[in-house]
Parts: sequence; C-alpha cells; structure tokens
Amino acid sequence: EKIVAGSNCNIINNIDNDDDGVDKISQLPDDILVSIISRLTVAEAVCTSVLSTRWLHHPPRFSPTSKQLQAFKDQEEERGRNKKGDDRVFEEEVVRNCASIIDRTLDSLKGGAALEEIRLYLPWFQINTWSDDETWPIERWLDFTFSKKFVRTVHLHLNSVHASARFPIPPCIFERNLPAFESLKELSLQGVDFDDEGLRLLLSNSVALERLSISRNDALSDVRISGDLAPKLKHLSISTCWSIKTMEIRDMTNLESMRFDEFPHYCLLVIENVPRLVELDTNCVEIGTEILSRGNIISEKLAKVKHVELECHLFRKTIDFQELVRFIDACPCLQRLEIKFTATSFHERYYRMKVVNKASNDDHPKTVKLSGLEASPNEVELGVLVVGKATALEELIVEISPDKSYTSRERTIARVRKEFQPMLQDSVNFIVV
Amino acid sequence: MAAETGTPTTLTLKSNDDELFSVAESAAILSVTIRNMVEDGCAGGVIPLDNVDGKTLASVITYMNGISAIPADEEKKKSYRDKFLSDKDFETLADMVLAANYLNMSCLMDAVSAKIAQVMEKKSVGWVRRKFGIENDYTPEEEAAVKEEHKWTFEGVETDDDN
Repeated sequence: EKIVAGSNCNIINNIDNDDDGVDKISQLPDDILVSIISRLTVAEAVCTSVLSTRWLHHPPRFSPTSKQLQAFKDQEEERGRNKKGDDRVFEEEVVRNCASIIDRTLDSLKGGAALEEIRLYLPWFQINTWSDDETWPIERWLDFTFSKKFVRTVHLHLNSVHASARFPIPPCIFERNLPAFESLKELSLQGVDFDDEGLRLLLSNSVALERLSISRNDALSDVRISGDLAPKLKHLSISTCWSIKTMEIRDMTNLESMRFDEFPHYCLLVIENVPRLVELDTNCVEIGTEILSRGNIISEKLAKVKHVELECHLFRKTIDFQELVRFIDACPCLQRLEIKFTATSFHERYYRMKVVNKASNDDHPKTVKLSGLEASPNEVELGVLVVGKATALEELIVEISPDKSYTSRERTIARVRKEFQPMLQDSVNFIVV
Repeated sequence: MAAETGTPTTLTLKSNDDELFSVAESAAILSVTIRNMVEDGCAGGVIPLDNVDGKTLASVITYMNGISAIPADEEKKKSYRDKFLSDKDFETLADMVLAANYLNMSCLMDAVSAKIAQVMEKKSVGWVRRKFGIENDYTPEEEAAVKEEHKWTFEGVETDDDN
C-alpha cells in the first residue's frame, strides 16, 4: 500500500479496517457521511461516488451553514498544465466538469449566507474552443461570491494559456453596491479580466480591503492606485498582466508589501509616498531597479532601515548591479546587509528585498552576509563594491552555493578569500562557509 | 434546576447496555440533546441514552470533561481534540461520530468527521475500499460508467492495482 503523506502514517495505522471486513463507514447515516465528505476537496468528494452504490448520490454537498468553501485545491490548478495533443479534448471535458461541479456545489449551499471564505480554483487548461455564445460560468461565481455579506477572503483563480479562453467579465460587475464590499479583506483574482475602470470601482467599493492580488489580466492598461482609492490596502500583488502600460502607486500610507512578477518591461512605473513599504518582491529588472535606486525617496521607512536582505541573481550582463549599490547607498542607517545569490535561471526572481528593521543612527553596515555565491565575475564585483563601501565593517560572512561540487567549492572558497581578504582590516571577522 | 445551590449539579447518564455514568451538568450540556432535557426539567433521575453503548459513552464523557475544563481558547480546545482522537481506531471513531450525532455535539462531530476525512485524502478508490472494508456492489459496467463520468477526479490521487 502506498501512503502519501508521512504525517498520515499514524492515523492510517490506527484506522485500519482490514481485519474484520465490516463496512462500518457505509452504514453511517446520510448526514454523517455528508459531514465527512464535505471536508474533502470537491474532486476527492466526487471520487467517493465510485466506492459503491451507497456513495453514489452524496457528493458534493456542503452545508448551508458552512463558513468556508474551497472548490479544488490550489495545487489542482496546475495539474493539467503538461497536457498535450489528444489530451486536449479531455482537458476541455475536465474544465466543463469542474465548472459544473462548482455550480452544483454552489447550488447545494442554498445561498451560503454564512460563508466567510470562498476559494474557487479552476484547474489549468489549454482549451480555446469555448465558443462566444456560451455563458461564462464565472459571472455566476462572481455574483455568488460578491453577494455574501460576511465574506472576508475570496480567491477566484481561472487559468488558461490562451487569451481566447479567458473568462472575460464586463467591468460593470463591480459597479453595483455588492454586499461583500463591506467585509472583504482579501481578494485574489486570476484569469479574470476587468479593465482600469473595473479596478477603480472595485477598489473604491471595497472599503475594508487589505490584500489584493491580480494575475493574468489582459484588460488592465493604466493602473492607478492611490490612498484615496484604497486607504486600507497593505499588500498588493500584480503579476502576468502584459497589457499594463503605466502603473502609478501614490500616497498609500498603509502599504507594506508589493509584488510585481512577469511585468512588461516597457511599463512606466511611478511610485510615490508609500512610507510603510517594507517588502518588495519582483522579477522585473526595471521595477526592481527603479524602486531600489530610489528606496529612501519612496518610503520613509527605507531611510531608517538597519537590516536588509536581498535576493538576486546576476545572470544577464545587462543587469546593472550598480543600481543595487545605489540602493545600499540610499539606506544611510544600514547595519546589517544580507545578499543571497540565487540560482541563475531566467525564471528566478531577480530581486527580493526584505527590510527587517528600522531606526538607527549608525552610518555604515557592520555586518555583510553574501550567500549562494558561485563567485561569478558579476557576483564578485558586486560583493567587492559593497564590502568596499562598508567602512565600519565588523563581520563579513560568505556562504558558497551548495550546488557546487567539492573541488569547485574549494576553488570558489580560494577565489573568495583572494578577492575579499586584502580589502578587510584585521579587526573584521571574516567567515567563509 | 438546582444550579443555585452552589454545589455543582451532577447528572446520571445510562447507556443502552445499562451502564451508569455520573457527569457534571456543566460538562454534559455540551450535548444539545442533554441540555434540552435539563432545560425541560426531565433530567431529575437517570437520563437514558438509548443509542449509545457504555464503551462509547465513557469516551464521550472523557471528552466532555476534558474540553469543558479548558477555558475559552479555541487553539487549546483544538489541540485537546486532536490529542483525544489521536489514539482512536476507526471502529471507535465511527461509534463516536454516531454518538455525537445523537447527542447533538457539533464540536465532536466536526472533529471526528474531519479525522475520518483526513484518512481518505488523496487516496485511490481501491485503497479507501480496502481500508474501510467497503464492498464494491457495482457491476463492472456500472463502475466503468461512474468512473467515466468522473474520470477527471482520479488524476492526482494515489493509484494502485485495483483502482
């Protein structure tokens, strides 16, 4: 027998009915079976109908008093991603099936007025044959979701590689005064198209919104988000929206983190007055550079930061790591700097910046830590620049990339020592790991 | 009700195999069924619980006492429930979920349902059938038809020979 999760081993050993052969579970009354089934994912729940005729008519049913609804796990989103050729037809069937299961699940909730969390993840698919005259199920799902008065968390993730199979919705969906706007704190929309006006309406209506994530939206072009529009927003993530031409983020006094992935490089970015920003996550060179080089202008907090963690990879020659140095210069109170060099895959994130602490009056970094080093010329050059600037340095820690084989590790260590040792004063604690 | 006397009121519960159990009223009223009886004033003598056997009732009372001793802290209650259920075999869990249903104890019912569902997560049909001793009463044609209808759901579960 195969056992999936190690953590389940104990339970499995205890709950073992192999000996006596009595089918106790099927004898449980209907409402108990439903109570058990409703805790599975929708796909798993449907699967139980194959067990025996006793189970056929149960799935999927959720109680009208449920507070949480999750249709398909988020990892199921991706499971069709590697399909090819003949599987395409199957793909389409899968998506239609999933959509109808979600519809039936919503039916069984009988309104689901108590719902606080709604997560609908439609698996990844590659169909492009969904004809125009068919109704997009997404409209009903959005209507359902936004009609709930207590809902705090909404995830609607729909996926397709083909733009033609997107689920476009008219921008007016957010125009009405929908009950969910009062309570909604976290919203994540993926593959749901709405335009600039739609975003404006969404933000101005969602008065409690703290976390917004938008992905795979092709209709956004000029994104403008300001403190007037979304005063409570703390976390903003925008990724894979290839039509965005300009993006302005202004006067967001509560914004703490931003994430921009897979962004068009020609996008004009304006970021002003985000005093609380402490976390940036992006794989877009232009955005990373823009924010890093103007760090202390953008955020008051950055001017007082004393501990910075950076992740980057210096893969392409075009990357001007001088910008990183400028950023470090722009943090006058820095005491501890950690740079982690990540694997040199194109798809790796370029920068990941985490500002850990604030407020100090010291002038120069006392500790510099460089990890994941492969001692490529770019890495060494950046390292030397950073260390050269750290005139008050007390400790330098260098961690060599674990991917290296033993002999090349030895070479890398030797190279690191050769490059850095001459620059360091005797009092500096130099550690190579 | 005698709650005003100052001493904790004790109820006597009788299982369907005639075992008697004493339990503090404050703990017993976790069961909505028992609470209703208490409120209706029918809890004076012995409360017969016709659908619960002595072994299961003993377990349920242990749970009632344990959980009612924990102040309003959902985290601690959850960890007590996890610990309480961790050493129970499926037989016991099935009896307990039936008892919880009969006694109308939603917190126990939820916890046991979740525990049973946890065993089924990501498992193949064949695996679940064997584990719970479920007899496959489909004809091969019927089973093929049901599987065909829902074949997409079988991706991502563990496969085995008789799936």
